[in-house]
Amino acid sequence: MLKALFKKQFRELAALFLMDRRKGKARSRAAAAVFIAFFAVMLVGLAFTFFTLAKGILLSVSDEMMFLYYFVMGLIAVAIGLFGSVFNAYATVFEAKDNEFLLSLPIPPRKIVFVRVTSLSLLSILYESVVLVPTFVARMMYRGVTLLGAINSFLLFFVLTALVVALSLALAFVVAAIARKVKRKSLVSVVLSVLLFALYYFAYFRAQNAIMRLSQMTVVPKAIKTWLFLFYHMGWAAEGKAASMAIFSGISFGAFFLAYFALSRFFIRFTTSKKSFSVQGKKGKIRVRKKGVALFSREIKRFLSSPNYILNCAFGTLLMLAAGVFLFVKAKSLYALIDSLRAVLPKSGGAIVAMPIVFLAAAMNDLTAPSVSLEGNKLWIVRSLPVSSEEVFRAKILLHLVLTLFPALFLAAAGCYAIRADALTALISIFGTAAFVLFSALFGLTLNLVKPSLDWTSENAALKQSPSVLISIFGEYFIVMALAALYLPFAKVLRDETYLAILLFLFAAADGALALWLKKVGTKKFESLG
Amino acid sequence: MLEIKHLTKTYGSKKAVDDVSFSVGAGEICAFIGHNGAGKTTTLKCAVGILGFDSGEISIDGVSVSKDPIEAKKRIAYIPDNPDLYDYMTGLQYLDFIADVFSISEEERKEHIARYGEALGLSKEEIAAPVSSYSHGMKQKLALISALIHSPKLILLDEPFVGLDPKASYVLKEIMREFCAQGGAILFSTHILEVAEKLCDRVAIIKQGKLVTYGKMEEVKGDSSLEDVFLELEA
Repeated sequence: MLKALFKKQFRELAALFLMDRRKGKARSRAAAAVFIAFFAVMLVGLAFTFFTLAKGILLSVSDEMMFLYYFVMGLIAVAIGLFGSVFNAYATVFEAKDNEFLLSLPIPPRKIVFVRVTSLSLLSILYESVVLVPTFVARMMYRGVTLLGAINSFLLFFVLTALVVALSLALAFVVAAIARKVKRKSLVSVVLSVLLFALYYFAYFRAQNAIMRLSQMTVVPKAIKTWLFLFYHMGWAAEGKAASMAIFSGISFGAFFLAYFALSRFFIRFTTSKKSFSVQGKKGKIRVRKKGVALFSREIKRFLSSPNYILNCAFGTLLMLAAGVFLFVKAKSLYALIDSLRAVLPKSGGAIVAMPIVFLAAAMNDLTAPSVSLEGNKLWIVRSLPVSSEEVFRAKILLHLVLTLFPALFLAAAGCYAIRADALTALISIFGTAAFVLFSALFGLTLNLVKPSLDWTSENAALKQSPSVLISIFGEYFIVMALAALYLPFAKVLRDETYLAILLFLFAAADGALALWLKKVGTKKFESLG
Repeated sequence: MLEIKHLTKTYGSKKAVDDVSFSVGAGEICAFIGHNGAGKTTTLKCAVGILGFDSGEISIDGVSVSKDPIEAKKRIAYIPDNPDLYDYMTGLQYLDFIADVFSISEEERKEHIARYGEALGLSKEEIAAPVSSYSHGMKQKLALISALIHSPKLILLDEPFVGLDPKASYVLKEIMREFCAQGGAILFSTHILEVAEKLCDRVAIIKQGKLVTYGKMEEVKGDSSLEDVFLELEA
């Protein structure tokens, strides 16, 4: 029985590499090989980054404080392991699609849990290895290791995995329990993702400095011994201290077995407890709208229902607003920066630098590029209703404009304020931004009509992997950068406002051409989608 | 009400529907029967205007589906075999969306939602719940209410009885009869031949894209059952 369960579990793991989630089909051998090679290269690249960090710590930490080496690197390994494993634990243990199916078969729940936890542990080892392998290699290369230290370092792979799996199961349990209670899951997901994103950047900019400061310490702070007691012993365990190894292993394995037995004991109760809200809503109120408003409202509801759609296609909105505030606050220092460019751009007041940046920020939003694909298997609804394709397009474009135009104009205004643009330059910049945002909306929709992908099994395939999305984002980046670069040969003769006026004209002309294409050809393409 | 003349639709080199012609008059229920892949869904989708076709003509209440699709769609309601509805809406939001598109007044939609909701066994609280929490049968019921909310002249249904509980199935048959008694027309595909035999005035049988028989139910089946006729034609 266990053999069959493991076989199924490993097939699931293998499917991560061998299945194309976008198409819901198996990858060809060549495509699978390329995917695995890409994954391996990514892991090696990450490992090399950690190797560099490990080397930096090793060269600055004193012999008396060597525990700090594994203390820091172990903490990073736990963070990386948790980052990957919490999601896995949530998706493959608590919310696995086949939980109910397996429980309907004559299999003891503890066996299901055993196989799932084993699979989780293997993936966790993989994630931690990206940190622990270079940590060990760097240690051998730059400071050498004792035999006991080498044995303990090897054993740490397993001990750390036990700790990570225990923590992952606990966190995933909390997440799953909250997710079952929370109604507005998409909102919670978006807020959590934005917080994680902010945390990542905070850590990215601050962590290295903090780690280097930590590694140069000569006295162990009391806080480490008390609050990070476990990792303190992990650091000494890797140095060959048997007592620390015993403490660290005992607690880690203790936590692991506690989590495992608790999960085995309550697996049925948790997985079969009522999953979602009952099919009972508060008595709603009928709202009468015009057809166009109803279609637009449909787009908004679609957008707000999907954290992936919000984060992948409208993150620029948040960034533009934040960047606009930043520009208003830091206008003085930015003006000094722009002033220093006068040697290269003698005729420019800075708008030719600021506006392409505004355009690039606006290009981060690509709401229309997956919008046709996102109709998926529900396309029949609009296709069977008495609404024209143009009305459907209008609603999609309007969603893009509402979420992109206002923040883009705010950012453009902040940019004009920061560079102290004159009224004419500001006016052209504002209109230029509007023309670009409209171009972005029309361009994305056009691409999606040319390359729609309606037969996806995972929404992410339409949002992240479809050609229209990739071409839309990178195509717009390329266009903006090429147009900005084209200014350089004329930098000594053309003023900002003249060049921006040319850009405004170009984007307005492109808007007209794309709108015409959508009306004449795009509608036919949309109507041919069955 | 529905007139299909020489309809032909190909997918690549395969003819899914081959020169099919038949009609459904006002006040009539017509069953559309055929084995899996015979061309029923393709024909229905062409009639709704979801799929374009290679040749032929389809008109609804005298309005050409290919020449004036919006006007034609105003007269019809369509429910596919597996109604994937917007799961990011509540049932009521979905009904509101459909009613908005058809410009149905608040009073009318209130009355229709209450009437058909009660008849099909979908409570106000259930209608107000997210579509994502619905079972297959509940989605089917919601799709039926959305089809009836704008009082269409023609309803096209693809396997409407699949997933419905016995009571809802009975109610649907009653609704279909009442709808036709008031001058509406219905074309529906089904594999349940007993239902077709009892409920329908006309029957069209399609095989490998070609219409093999069409006519009044009594004329088609004669003294035998519809099942016998169908099996004989399929042999």
